[in-house]
Amino acid sequence: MLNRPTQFDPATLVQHLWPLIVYGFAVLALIALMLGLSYFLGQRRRDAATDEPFESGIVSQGSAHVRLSINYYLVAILFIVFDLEAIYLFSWAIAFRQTGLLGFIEAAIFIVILLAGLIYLWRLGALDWGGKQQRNL
Amino acid sequence: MQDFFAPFLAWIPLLPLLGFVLLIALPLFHLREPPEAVSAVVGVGSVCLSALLTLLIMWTLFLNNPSAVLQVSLWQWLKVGALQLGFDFYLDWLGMAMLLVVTGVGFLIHLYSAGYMHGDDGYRRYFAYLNLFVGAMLILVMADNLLLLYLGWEGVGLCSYLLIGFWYRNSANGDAARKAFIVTRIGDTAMLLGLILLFSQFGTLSIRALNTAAASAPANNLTVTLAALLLLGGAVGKSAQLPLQTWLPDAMAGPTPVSALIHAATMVTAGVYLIARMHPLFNASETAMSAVGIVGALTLLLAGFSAMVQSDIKRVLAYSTISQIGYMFLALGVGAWTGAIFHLMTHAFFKALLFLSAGSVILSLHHEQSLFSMGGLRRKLPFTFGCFAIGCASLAALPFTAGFYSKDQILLKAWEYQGGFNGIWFTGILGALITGFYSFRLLFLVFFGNDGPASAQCKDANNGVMTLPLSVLAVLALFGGLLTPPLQRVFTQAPAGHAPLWVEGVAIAAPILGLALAWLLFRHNTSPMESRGKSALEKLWFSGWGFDWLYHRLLVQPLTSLARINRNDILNSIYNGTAFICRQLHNLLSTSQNGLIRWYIASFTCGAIIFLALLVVL
Amino acid sequence: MSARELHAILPLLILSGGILFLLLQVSFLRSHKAAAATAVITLIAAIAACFDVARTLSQSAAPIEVTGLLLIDQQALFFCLLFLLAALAIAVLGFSYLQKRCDSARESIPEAFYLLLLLVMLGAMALVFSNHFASVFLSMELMSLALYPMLGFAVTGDLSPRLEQMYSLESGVKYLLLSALSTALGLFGMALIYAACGALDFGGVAAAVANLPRTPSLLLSGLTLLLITLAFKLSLVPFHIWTPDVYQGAPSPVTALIATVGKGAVVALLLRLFTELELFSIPALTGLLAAASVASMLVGNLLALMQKNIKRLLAYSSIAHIGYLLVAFLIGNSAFGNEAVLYYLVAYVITTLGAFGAVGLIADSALARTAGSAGEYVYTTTSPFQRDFYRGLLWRSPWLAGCLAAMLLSLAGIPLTIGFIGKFYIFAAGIQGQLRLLLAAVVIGSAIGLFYYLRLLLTMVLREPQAPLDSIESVRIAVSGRLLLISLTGVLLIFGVFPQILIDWIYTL
Repeated sequence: MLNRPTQFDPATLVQHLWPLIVYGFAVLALIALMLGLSYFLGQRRRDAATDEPFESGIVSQGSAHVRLSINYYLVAILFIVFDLEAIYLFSWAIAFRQTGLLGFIEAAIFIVILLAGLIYLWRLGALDWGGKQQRNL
Repeated sequence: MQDFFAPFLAWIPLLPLLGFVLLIALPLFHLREPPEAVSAVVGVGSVCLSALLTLLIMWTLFLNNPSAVLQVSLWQWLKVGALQLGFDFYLDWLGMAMLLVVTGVGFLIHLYSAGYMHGDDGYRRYFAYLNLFVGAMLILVMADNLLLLYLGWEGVGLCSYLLIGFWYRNSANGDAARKAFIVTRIGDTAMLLGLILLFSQFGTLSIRALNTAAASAPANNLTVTLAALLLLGGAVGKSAQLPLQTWLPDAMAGPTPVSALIHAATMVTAGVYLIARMHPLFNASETAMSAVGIVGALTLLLAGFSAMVQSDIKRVLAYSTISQIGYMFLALGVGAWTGAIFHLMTHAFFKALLFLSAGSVILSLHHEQSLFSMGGLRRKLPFTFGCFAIGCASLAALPFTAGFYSKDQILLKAWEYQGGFNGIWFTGILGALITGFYSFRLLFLVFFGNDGPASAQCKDANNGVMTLPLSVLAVLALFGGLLTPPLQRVFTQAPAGHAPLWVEGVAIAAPILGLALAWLLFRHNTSPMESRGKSALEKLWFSGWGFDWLYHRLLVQPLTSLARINRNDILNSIYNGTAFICRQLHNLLSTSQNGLIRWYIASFTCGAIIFLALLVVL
Repeated sequence: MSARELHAILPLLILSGGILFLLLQVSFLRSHKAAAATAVITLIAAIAACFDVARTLSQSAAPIEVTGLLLIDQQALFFCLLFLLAALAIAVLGFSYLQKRCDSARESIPEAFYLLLLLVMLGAMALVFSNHFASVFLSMELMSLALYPMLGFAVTGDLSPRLEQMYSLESGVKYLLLSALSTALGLFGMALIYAACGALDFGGVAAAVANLPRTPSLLLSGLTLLLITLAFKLSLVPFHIWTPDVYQGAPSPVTALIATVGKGAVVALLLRLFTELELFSIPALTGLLAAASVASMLVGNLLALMQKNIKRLLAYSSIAHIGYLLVAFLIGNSAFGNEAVLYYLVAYVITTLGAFGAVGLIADSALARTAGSAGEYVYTTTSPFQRDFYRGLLWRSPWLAGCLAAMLLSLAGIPLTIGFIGKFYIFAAGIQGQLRLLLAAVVIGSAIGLFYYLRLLLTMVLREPQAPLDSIESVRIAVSGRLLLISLTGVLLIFGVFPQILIDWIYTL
């Protein structure tokens, strides 16, 4: 019962919340008004070209779905990952003297782990552009 | 001496039970049906050993000692609070008389069955059931407490059901078996209620303790009366007395030796035994006593009338059994305890003889049972005829047969019942007349007159194992009257007074008059009824006074129509409804799992909003 | 950082070292078996380290705080031990799964599975040790990020059936998107908490919670958002909706991993969070959890009712089981409630591992190589995850079916299994806490649950009507898988018959 409002009074609650409620209703009413007006006042027409996207009078060509090679994303992700690590190293470099030997050891561990990840990626061919196809050739 | 024999007592019921177990388990070892000889040896041998054991005990302990008592306590059976029941056996002369009948007649009928059932597919099954029956019946007879008695009581009921429906491929037999079981269960339920009432009132189920307690209870105590009436209900069901008599004629669907053993000699007399066993209890209530007497008298007459017009040889005997047990009840009702048990014994002899002879006739005629197809068999089956004639004479209680002594004793006692002429006595005399009539009608229709349609194919089916029991039973039916069991110590009753001589004369004359009537009507085997069709009264008698019709209308039809209304089990719809609701909810919820990630995200967001909204409320 | 603190996080250090070693090992020695062996050795070493730390702890009796981020105590070590053992089983299952599906001569990298498994374990254990919202976030993300590729791992096993790869990918993507959403909410929640009380360590927040104003506040909103994140990870209703799709699509060992370690670590965190922050005294939060618990029990079981796919069925049933677990959780900060949660979690982990393990191994056995040049595997039957495939399993391979039957009975809470004891605990806890409504939901849920568990059992017993006897093939699975299943069944029965052993262990914490 610790958290329960001492007197749960709907009246006071409404008193506190009424601007919000009025606002909510106003939003709803406005939307209804706009949609309703356009529905009643707007003209309706069903032509062959009604559903076509309008591009300055030029009929659109082809599909917008273009497939890009996954390797772009892979390289981008790798870049971001290793780029982010630089931030940590940069902040460590600034405080190099304050952190002392302990900081150095910690940073070394961090770098070693990164290095191990890099070796792993390299050995598994993640850095090879085109990946499988080239190696198999 | 008594201590020496006590352990043997347990073996008397145990042997047939062992025989049952062995017969049931035989295929487990062999994986095929054992030869008939094996089944017969096990089945007959076990009962034979029991019979020998009984004779031995009778000979050494009971013969010269009317107050001999043997008891043995095997083990504690139940112990629930105040209720302590042992697997205890108790034997006095009453039990011994029953024991002799059950094992002796039982053995003879087993022996006969070995020949009668020859070639049947269910040979082993038959003997297994029969052994189980004998075992259960022996437990019933020797039980020292009512619950053990009830165990035997239900056991014999089960065996009766199994054996009536023995040829289960014919659905009519199954119906008959079910009818017997259900009708007797009505009585059994009454009896169970009686047991519970007795226990709640007296705190014990031991027969002797109950009898002592009942004897010392105030006269016409309501509880005692009620308990006695409830026990009477059980007895009425088992012994096929009014109003639960309808099952016995249908029970003739079973093999004939079964009818002889269960539905004539032993099981149906269990009710008589029960009342005799509990006689101090009944004595303590005049209402119960007169109820027993009236039930007996009415049944005796009604069944006798029905027996006069039956056309099936076994149904005649069935109705005569009902009628004769009516005599026993009548005897119990008037306090002729000894007479009732004596008649039970002689009835076992001559009725077993009659059934077995009828079995021989039926077998000889290739399973023909209609009286009007028979006739003139006296020349073709002379031995069977002799036996049958002795049986009929004994049944009709012609002088110097076994039946005469026992029935005479009952009629005399009935005369004394109210110090002279009374309705019960008159019913007994009328019954004797009718008995004479229908038993000799049966004899004449089967063995005298011209050949019937079936008589032409007659071939004597008796063989060694069948003639031996018939001969023994014939001797017993003739001279069994000399074997009066010394029951005077079991039943304390006033010595028989002297009735006027003419009363004796009437008792002798009545069956002879019946015989004469039958001679006049049926000597030539031409049935007046058959030729001119049946009158309404005859139809009523033929159908056993329409009890079947009445019960069908009154009980069976309302029940079946109720069942039909509730065919879909109204209560079950609750469970079906639950399942339906669960399934619908499942379907409803399943639609939310549509696999669309945008929907999932939306639902997640909705959930989060609900949580935050709940936070405000809570 | 003192030597004592370093020693306290020894299990974490060992895991990290193992991961690093495995990275390098895979780089230079491509061998599936060697990678599996390294992973197993690392896990065993971590288990040994757990015992070692536990011994130290029992000497000093006080929990060890490490750098304000982690707090190592007996209970956390117990959880770690449980998860490490589960991970060991998953490594075995994963080996069986990958052995057939990966062709090392080609481009698939089965070794990555073990790498990711160890990463998930590192995240889970750090989560269990967390004593600071920063470490909570970091470790939870570590766990989740490692899980995404694991869920889609069927793609790496390039010999997997095509459909399986698609499902697996779908599973990974769905989990990624929804998990990102939930993490965002959770992070926002932490921000609110920080805004409200200016601290992120549990001790600091606890002080603020103690002085919580009586109206809905910033802090409470933050805690609720955090709770939503945790509820998502536990797949409580209404955040359950991802569960069946993800569980179905993921490789079976990964399903087992996410269902056991993934959920168990969050339960451990929830337990610590509520205990440390005294959140049991806030009716709003316990009320929310109670509502979610009731909804989970009912909705989970109802959804499983007519389900034909075994993995989906187990997914729905796991929703319901976490609902049961919360009942024990909700009786508050009492020793008995704690004990009940621990016991039920152990039961849940063992049973779920066994069930998914059996399902996965059975599916593996149904794989057969196509005759075509691609050499891909296909399933010999339409789908080895449909209930129809389990028809007559008892006659085809009685041992396997027996193990699965034991798991199902345990899930249904039938006596002599650990599931029964667990459910008994739930009942006892619920009665002690007077949680009538929750208990009613437990009863209804269990009744519905019985239906679908027993139906599956019945299917396993049914014999194929037409099939001649000699055409029935037994399901062949590897010895390691068989040993695993039998030992899981054994544990399930032992703790089911002699629950006192496990109770005593829990008591010593």
